[in-house]
Amino acid sequence: MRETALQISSLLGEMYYKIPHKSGLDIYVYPKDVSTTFASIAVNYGAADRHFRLAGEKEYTAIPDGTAHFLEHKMFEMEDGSDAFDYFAETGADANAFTSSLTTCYLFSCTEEFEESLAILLDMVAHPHFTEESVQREKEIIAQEIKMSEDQPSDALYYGLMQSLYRKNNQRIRVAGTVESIADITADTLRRAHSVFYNLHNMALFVCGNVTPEAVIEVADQVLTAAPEASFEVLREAEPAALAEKRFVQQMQVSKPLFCIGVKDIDISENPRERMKKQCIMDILNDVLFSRSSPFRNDLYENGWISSSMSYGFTHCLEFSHNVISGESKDPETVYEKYISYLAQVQKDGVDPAAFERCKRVLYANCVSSFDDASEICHNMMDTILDGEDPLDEPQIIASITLEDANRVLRSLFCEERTAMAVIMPIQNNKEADK
Amino acid sequence: MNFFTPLDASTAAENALVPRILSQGCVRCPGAMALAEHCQSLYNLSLSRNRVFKRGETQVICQSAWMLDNSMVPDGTDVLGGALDVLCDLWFDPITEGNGFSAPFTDHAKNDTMDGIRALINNKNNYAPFRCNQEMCRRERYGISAVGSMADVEAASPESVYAAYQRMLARSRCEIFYVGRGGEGRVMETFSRAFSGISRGDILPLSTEVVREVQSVREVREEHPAQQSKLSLGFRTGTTEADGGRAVMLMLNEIFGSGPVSRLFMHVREKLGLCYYCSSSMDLIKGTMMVNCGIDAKKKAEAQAEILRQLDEIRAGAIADAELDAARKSLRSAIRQIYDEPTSLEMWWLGRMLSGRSVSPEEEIDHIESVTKDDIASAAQKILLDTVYFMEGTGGEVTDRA
Repeated sequence: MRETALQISSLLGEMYYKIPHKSGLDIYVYPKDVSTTFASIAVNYGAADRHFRLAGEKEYTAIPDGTAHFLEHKMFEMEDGSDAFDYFAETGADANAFTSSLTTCYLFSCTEEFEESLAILLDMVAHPHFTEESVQREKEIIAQEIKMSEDQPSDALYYGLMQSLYRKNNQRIRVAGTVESIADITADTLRRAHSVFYNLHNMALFVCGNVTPEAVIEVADQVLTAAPEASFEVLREAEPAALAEKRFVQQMQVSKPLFCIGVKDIDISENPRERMKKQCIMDILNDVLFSRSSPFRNDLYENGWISSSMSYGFTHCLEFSHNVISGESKDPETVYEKYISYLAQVQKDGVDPAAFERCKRVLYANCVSSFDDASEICHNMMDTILDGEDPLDEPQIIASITLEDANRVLRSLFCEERTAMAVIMPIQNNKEADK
Repeated sequence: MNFFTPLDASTAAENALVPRILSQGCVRCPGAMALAEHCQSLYNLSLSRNRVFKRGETQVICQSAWMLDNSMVPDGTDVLGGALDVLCDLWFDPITEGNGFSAPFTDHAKNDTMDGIRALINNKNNYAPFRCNQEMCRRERYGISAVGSMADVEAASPESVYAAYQRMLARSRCEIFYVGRGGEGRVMETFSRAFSGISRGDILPLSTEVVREVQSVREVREEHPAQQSKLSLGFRTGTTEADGGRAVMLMLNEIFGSGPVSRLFMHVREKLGLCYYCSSSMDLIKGTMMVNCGIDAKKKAEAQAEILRQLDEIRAGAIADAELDAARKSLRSAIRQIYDEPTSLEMWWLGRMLSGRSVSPEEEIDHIESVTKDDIASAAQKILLDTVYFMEGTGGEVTDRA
């Protein structure tokens, strides 16, 4: 028999329950004494899932790009033709949804009538309802969303980098698809995607706030019916080590060139705990290498090569992994050259032990603070648990990281052959150029 | 630490440069790197560097610090004490040269601010409402950007910013907030001591001009190389928080254009499919409202007509009971959520201090309960369209792969 398990971190004084519900849905409940209760249900289905096949099928079936996101929009349509937002309005919950490359997530926050709102959420994702007419109308709305995103230089920069780093991995694909790709979507496309992917065994529910596991189970018992085991697979093509392209350049209306330098990481462990450890090591290393305390960042800024704000981050999960820095520069190519030579030098010299200790403190503080807020806890649980990890393990993992770990990852991850850059350049005015 | 100062073209740029300069270093940590190292050692003490905004015609200059609670620090480091030291060092022991701030710090602060002003164009969702507001209030102080104009930033000198800093310390109303698990006694004592060395003069009076009439609607149209066009409508609401109209305006905004069951979302987006986003927001001190949406250029007239039609319906009192209930519940929930987030709690009380009405979140919920349909309709009747800003997207992108 599957039983409720209690996960505890004595270091943090935090805990949550894992409940394998009889319907097939895994439920995670994190009781916390706050005003706001937060719930999110995640479906293991995102923009990267472009081909699937059911058990027994030989061939994969292709789905138009943007289907997962389109389905997310349309799941708010209820069986009686009304909108789920109307139901949430009656309970006072603030509902929303988002789609990423790997996940579709529906969520709400509330300060009262939690059980009623949870029932709406579960009912909504379990029971699709769309008409051809409403699907056609939604295309106009999503087309505007796509155009808005395509006008955003930061989005263009991100996808430009993904298309440079990856040849096969579906990180290349825009989550919402394109105006052309969504044109092929019909009510049938959505029904099919729902029946394949929205299986309770392929979903997980996360709740954090002033709640008990019993209250959550009671709602799940009422709303959900047992699902058969999910029996499909999605197509994943192996990603070669080599880049797709070294550079991506696009002109847009920006005040100064924007750059985003990324390195593709090809060393991804099958072991979730190892992945969590590598994520922590890289979080520390990134602060050592690129925060305001780093000589490299300071030198670039003092000499006018970059603007004040520069962001950086490591994304690491079973399906893909890369490290990115991005900012604004009058001359991205110079920044790129300095970045490459800086990393070569640090790889030779090793990480400064004092900087390592400082940045380990930073990561510890960030980890502790991430347990302050119900919505952040839910998002954290979702990201880590769906990748097979346990969010409460993080403080212990951070404590175990050594300078040697940092040097090992520093020397194996950064490599010019796997480094690409995306650049958004200001639009060249032809009249100006002629002068 | 928040300084409230009149938003004025002659001082806005220099005031806003002050935190940008001070947050680069002090006598004890004489540079950005040394300061960053020290903050990292204090378990990621995070300092704001350019938290500057306006509420009505008041410019607010903030210096914030976010830190780990001492009870969560594993090795006994006194993070709170360290944070108070850093704040006092930055603000009361800055690096000076003659009668001015450090020249390199001033140059950095000016360049960063000018980069920020230029980069507004990068994000069209923010740029359109910014331009609409600028056009609508071009003859009022509210039309001044919170960081001042490009020309004024460029003209600022180490001496002129230092003078602004001294004026701020001596003559601006200052409100210090501390939200945490304990330690407020230490915070009070630290800042009392720090300010004891400052001779405080006459405090600069704060005021906001509220425009309640519109002669004629102004249309502004600009072209930008983007796929999507942006429509921003600027309104004069005729009701402010100082008039006691906060609760009714919050309800009106909720029903009209805030969130997924509002009129704008349900009609302009869901029924007509004209946009992905369409929402309203208000400045309750200035008495202005803005509606923003992203649309196809050829749908401008249709979108504008529908936005105004929805406002007309509210003016006529055509509000369903369910809408009223939903707005109350949504606001009640949003207000209660304030208690979960220190910065939200700070912003709540900062807003009330600026309006001069000391209302707690719980009291606000009571006020909201008592708002009627008639109250909302009467308030809506006073709302006047002032400026239509249309950023017409002319499309086009150029991609080049190497």
